[in-house]
Order: sequence, then C-alpha cells, then structure tokens
Amino acid sequence: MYKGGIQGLNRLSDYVHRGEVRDLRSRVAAILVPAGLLVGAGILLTPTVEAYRVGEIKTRDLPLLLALVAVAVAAVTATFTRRHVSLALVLSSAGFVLALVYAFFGAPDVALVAVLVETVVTLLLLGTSKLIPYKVLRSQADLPLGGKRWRRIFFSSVAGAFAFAVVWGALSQPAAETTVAEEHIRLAPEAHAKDVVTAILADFRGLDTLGEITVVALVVLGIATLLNRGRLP
Amino acid sequence: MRNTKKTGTGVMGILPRTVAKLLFLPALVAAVAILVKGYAQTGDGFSAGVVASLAVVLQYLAFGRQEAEKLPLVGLAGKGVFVGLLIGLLVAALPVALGDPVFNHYPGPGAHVVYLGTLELITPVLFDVGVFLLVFGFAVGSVRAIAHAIAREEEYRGPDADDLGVEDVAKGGRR
Repeated sequence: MYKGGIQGLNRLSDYVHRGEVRDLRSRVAAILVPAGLLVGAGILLTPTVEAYRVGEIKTRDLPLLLALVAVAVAAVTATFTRRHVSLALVLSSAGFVLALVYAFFGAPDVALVAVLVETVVTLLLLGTSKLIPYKVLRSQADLPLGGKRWRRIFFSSVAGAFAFAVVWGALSQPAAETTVAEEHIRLAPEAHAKDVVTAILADFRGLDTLGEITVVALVVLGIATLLNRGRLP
Repeated sequence: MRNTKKTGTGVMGILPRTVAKLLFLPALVAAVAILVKGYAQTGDGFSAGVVASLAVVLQYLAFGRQEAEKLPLVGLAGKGVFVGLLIGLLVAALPVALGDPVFNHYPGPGAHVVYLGTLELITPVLFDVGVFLLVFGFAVGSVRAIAHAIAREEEYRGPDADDLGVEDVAKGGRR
C-alpha cells in the first residue's frame, strides 16, 4: 500500500515535471495555472455579497474611459497581429495610451516615465528584430496558429475574467488601514523635497531603487556578453 | 529610409536629420532640467536619463552609427552604468561607515541646505545623479551594442546580400 502510494506519487511528479519543462509556454503555464486556480477558488469560495460595487460614471471621467477603450482595442489587436514590427508598434501604442490614463488619473510622474520607457522599449524591440534575418521573422509570422484555437480562447477568457474580478474586488473594497503614503507626504518637506515621488524613490525607498538599478546594470552585462563578446558597449 | 540600400547603415533623409540636429542640445538641456528640478517638480534621475539617451538614440537613427559615435561621451556610455551604480552604492553605504542607518541623508531634517537655484545639495540628489548615469548608460549602451551587432552582421553578409534562409540558420550557418 505504502510502496504503491510512493510509486504513484513519483509517477505523477514525473508526469507533471515532463509537462512543465516541455517548452517556454508550458513553464509559464506551470506558474500561471496554479496561481489562477488558487485565485479562482478564493473568488468562488469567499462570500461576495455586496463585495462588488459599481461606482457612478461622471462626465469628467469620459476622457479616462475613452483612453481605457483605446488601451483595450490595442490589447485585443496585439492578439491578432502576426508581424514582429507591427506587434512592437501595437504593444507600444497600448503603453502610450496607458500613459495617457495615468496622466488623467493625476499621476504625472508615472505618466512621464511610462511615455519614456515605451519609447525606449519600442526602439530596442525594433533594433533587436533588425538583428534577426528577415526570412526567419517572416517564416515565424507565417506559422499556422494550430488547431487548438478554441482552447486558447477559453483559457484567455477565463484568465481575463478572473483578473477582472480581482481588480474589481480590490477597487470596490479599498484597504481600510492607513498606508504609509500619508506618512511619506508628511515627511517629504523634512527630506528637503517638494515632489514626494522623487523623495520616495531617492530617499525613503532608496534601497528599493538601488536594487532596481543593480538589475539594470546586470542587464547591461548580459547585453555585453550576448552581443559584444563581453566588452562593455 | 531612402538611402538604406545604398549605405547599409539605415541613414535617414534630410528632414529627420535636420530635426535630429535641432533637437539634440535642447533635449540634453531638458534632461538636465528634469534632473535638477527632480526634487521640486515632476521627474527624477530616471526620466532625465531616458530623455538624454533618447536624444543620443535619435542621432543614431538619423545619422547612422559612425556619425553618432563621433559625439562626445557616447563611447563612455557603458562605463556610465557602473559609475552610476558606484555612486548609488556609496550614497547607500557611506552613512553606515559614519555610524548612521543605511541611506541616511545629509544634511538631516531641518538642517540648513545649500541651494543653487532649484538644485539642492543633498545626498539623495547625488543618488539621483547616479540613477541618471546608469539609465543613460543602459539605454545608449544597449542601442550601441545592437548597432554594432547589426554592423558586424552586414559586414559579414555584405549590405546587399539577401538574408540567409531559415534552413541555413537552423544548421547554424549564420554565426
């Protein structure tokens, strides 16, 4: 009995492992599917009476809504686009309109960074696609989608619905406890700062920023190794 | 991209080149302004670094690799990454050596700060300068690396040669 159980578990583990390491897509799926199942179970099992509220839409929200519609259109277009250059442009247009959303939301620092990052990322994507021979790009873009179209549509709809439910739930029930945000705003003048965002990035949460810029430095080392035979660009 | 075939470096026509030339210095000035005013208004070292690097990348797009690399400091961009990281680490670690917590800022709260216009002489601004150098180095450095790789590729194949077929690449014939 015990031996049979161990062998069964071993076979199950081998089966899951083989499925997981098959390709990049199954590796990503191995993370996303359990996470999705847990989130879905959480949504379905917790009492949700009055947990989801629909706020009213005011006239001043119209520009924001229009921008969100444009983001949605760009995101859906990205799923139909096959050519790499068009894909880079469609994705960056989604990002640019999102920057507009941040601006309407009253977050100028985030909007500025979003516009700049989208521009640089688009240029880098276009530059790297120039490195791949045109024939390879074209043959990849012309690859058939495969016969599992409906399965993919099903999975993406379920994932989208759960993500929507999570975001909606989070926005309907903002956390009651006070965050450190007010503390940051109160302390900004003591840090000799008038812009609280910069004070957070460079002072209050400087250690976070240091970690992030270290990652960027490591990326440069990676690029130097891949493209420049290890010499700094 | 009219001259692309002829030169093989992706050099653009007269209009983008004029715009790129006109925009170069103002974009750098804007970057410095974003950096200096970071503690008083929207923007920080990160945005300033990206704006400055976009100014340089525009020169790459408009004039091609060889012309753009004649600009001063472009050759040092890759090293800027590590100078910036070093500045960040120093701002983080020096207070520890002086017996204060990590990232303690000088001058302390309420203490007198020297102002040069909008610029405040405080250690977080120095950290922001480090972020600026790092981001500038990253963006310009990676575009430089990609441009070099494209140039090497074209040298290897010849500018007018057709791209190799998929089957050649699959055999590893490209590299």
